[in-house]
Amino acid sequence: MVIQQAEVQKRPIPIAIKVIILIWMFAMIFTYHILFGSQEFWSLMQRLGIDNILYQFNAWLQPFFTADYLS
Amino acid sequence: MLIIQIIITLFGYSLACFGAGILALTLLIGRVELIKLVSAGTMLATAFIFGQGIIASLWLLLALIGWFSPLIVAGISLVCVLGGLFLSRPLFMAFGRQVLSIWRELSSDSWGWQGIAGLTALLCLAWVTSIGRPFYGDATAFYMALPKVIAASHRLVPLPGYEGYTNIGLQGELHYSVFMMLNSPDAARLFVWPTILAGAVMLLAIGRQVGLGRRGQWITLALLFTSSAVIWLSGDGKVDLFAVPLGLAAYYWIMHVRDDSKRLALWLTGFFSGFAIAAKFSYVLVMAPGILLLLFWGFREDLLNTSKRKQAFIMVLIAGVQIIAGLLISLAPQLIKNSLLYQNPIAPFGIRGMGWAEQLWFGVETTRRIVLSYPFALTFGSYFGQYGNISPLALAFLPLAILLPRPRLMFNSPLVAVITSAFVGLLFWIITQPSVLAPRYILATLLLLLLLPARAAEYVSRNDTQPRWLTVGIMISITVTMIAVGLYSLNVVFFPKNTFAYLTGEMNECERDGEYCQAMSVINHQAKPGDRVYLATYYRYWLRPDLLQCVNGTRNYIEGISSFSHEKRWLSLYQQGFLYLMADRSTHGAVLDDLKPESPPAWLKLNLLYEGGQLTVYRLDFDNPPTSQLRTCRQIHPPAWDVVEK
Repeated sequence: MVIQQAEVQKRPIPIAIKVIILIWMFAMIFTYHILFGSQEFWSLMQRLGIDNILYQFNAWLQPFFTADYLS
Repeated sequence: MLIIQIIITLFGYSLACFGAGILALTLLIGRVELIKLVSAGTMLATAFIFGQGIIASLWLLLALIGWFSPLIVAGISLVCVLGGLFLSRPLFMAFGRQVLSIWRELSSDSWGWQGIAGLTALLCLAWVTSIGRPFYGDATAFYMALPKVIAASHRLVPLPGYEGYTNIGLQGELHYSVFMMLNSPDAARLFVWPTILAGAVMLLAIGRQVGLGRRGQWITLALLFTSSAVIWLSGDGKVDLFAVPLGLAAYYWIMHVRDDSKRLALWLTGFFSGFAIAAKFSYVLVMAPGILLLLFWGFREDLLNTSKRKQAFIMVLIAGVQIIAGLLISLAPQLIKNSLLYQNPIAPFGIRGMGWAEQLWFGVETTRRIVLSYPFALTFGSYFGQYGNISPLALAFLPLAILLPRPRLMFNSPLVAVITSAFVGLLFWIITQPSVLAPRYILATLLLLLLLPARAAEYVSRNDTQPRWLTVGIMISITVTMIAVGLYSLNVVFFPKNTFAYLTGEMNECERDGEYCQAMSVINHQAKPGDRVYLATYYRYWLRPDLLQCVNGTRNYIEGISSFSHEKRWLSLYQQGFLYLMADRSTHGAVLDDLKPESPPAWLKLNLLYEGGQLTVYRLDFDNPPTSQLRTCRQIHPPAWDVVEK
């Protein structure tokens, strides 16, 4: 059984909001790729010539999300 | 053909679980009601999950009294299959119609969303290729080794070497035992697949409750199958996924406490909560506050009405008692097991140094960083013991929630209720276990949180105004993430080439699993039934079941006794009846250093049977040793083996 949710009238989404959310969405997906990207992702970045800068970003970012046991 | 054996075994046992659930549900509410209460798919999943809980509990009790024999297991399974099939014919027909309607709805959607649905289905099907995944890690130490022993010995006793750890709930392990009994360990490893599918159905059913449409359900599936915390558990033999559908089913049914199915809902909430906690103790911390909140939410109208408040409180209390009764019934086999094996029904609680509640994984600084970086740590973290992440799509779509229309009464919104209860559960976990960042410990609750970004993404994709950038962004994000996760998982979790080679016989088990399998195969080939092997390793799954029962227990360890000379260590091995020694030099190198195998005593001849990259195996041949042997391994209660005084 579906419980219906009362919703108010729809309004157009402001462009600025759209842009901010889009940037956020791609930033999250891209960050994930930088941390856990497959070989294919890094090959693509290499072809685009931005792999080195992304490796540097990875090296900066990784320590924020990694730790060994009892560290 | 191996593939046919795996399919038949997997399908047959899944049907037995489903049948057990249908029989139990019929006992609870009657046959006719089954197809009336909820959708056919949800009822099928409920029956399968319920059956898993019931049948694992039954196996546990049988194993405790030593009756876990093929005849009894086959008899019970057959009754469940036949009974289930007989009782659920209308349910299957209704399910067929439901699938057809889903297909029609998908056909009428845009090709982009059809592609996303196709990719999701592909990622879900990829789980089959985990058959070719090299087998290593925790499962080969305990989760798959114990089932092998249970199946061969027809009984449950603590696993030698992991005596203390056998006090955990053994839901997954007992299912694995049946597959081991059927000589199909590959089907055992794949059993998490129908299990997570049932969990996915329950998550989608909760999604339906909170207003998710069909597209939102596909997005939810995409979020689920791009979460490495879920897919890393595919085919690795760990048992964490067994708690997920049980937990989700409890959350689903608590939302029905005021429907026509109230009586069933309360019982099922209790049963599922109990089974989920038995399958993963950590769930108690996150589920208890969430279930309690949803129980109160179910009675919110009466509770807010001053004239009915007192009566409503009494109703909540009665409902709570019924849920706790169900919970205790489903936890009873676990409590009985720990009473018999550990003289402590609530073990591991109350056992010093063995309770998971005492876990501390990181120091203060790291713990602070983890706590402050939620939810990013869940998605981007690769901390010790984390074992997977929540989909990046969850974070990516989260801001879309601000675009969701505000419900007229926030308190009445099922979405708000579910997300709040999951959030409170997560908060409770962070407060009580701040240093334990392990999505698999609280996965059912974390998956509930996916419903908010999924609902938001669905809403925006349907209501985006020109230019439709957000809709395009959502579709690109999902597609790219699914392809990326698929590629990243290739040859990490999913091994299509290995699977094909393994199923066609071009690759054998040891070629797939590597050195441990090869080293243990050498012992299996040489050792006589009941020979004792001293394992200076964590992993043991590949040993023959009789040998697994006779290996060293924690009491036999020769490591760490600094006063022993190397000759005395060899003598200790001899006295305890060990005829083989296997050491992992990467983790237990000190054992070999202390034993000094290059200069053994005169009464011992060491035969090197295997030496690989990290493992060394010796056969110990004794010639006129100074004392007599004190212990040996015998079949006192066949087919089980016991280490006894000689």
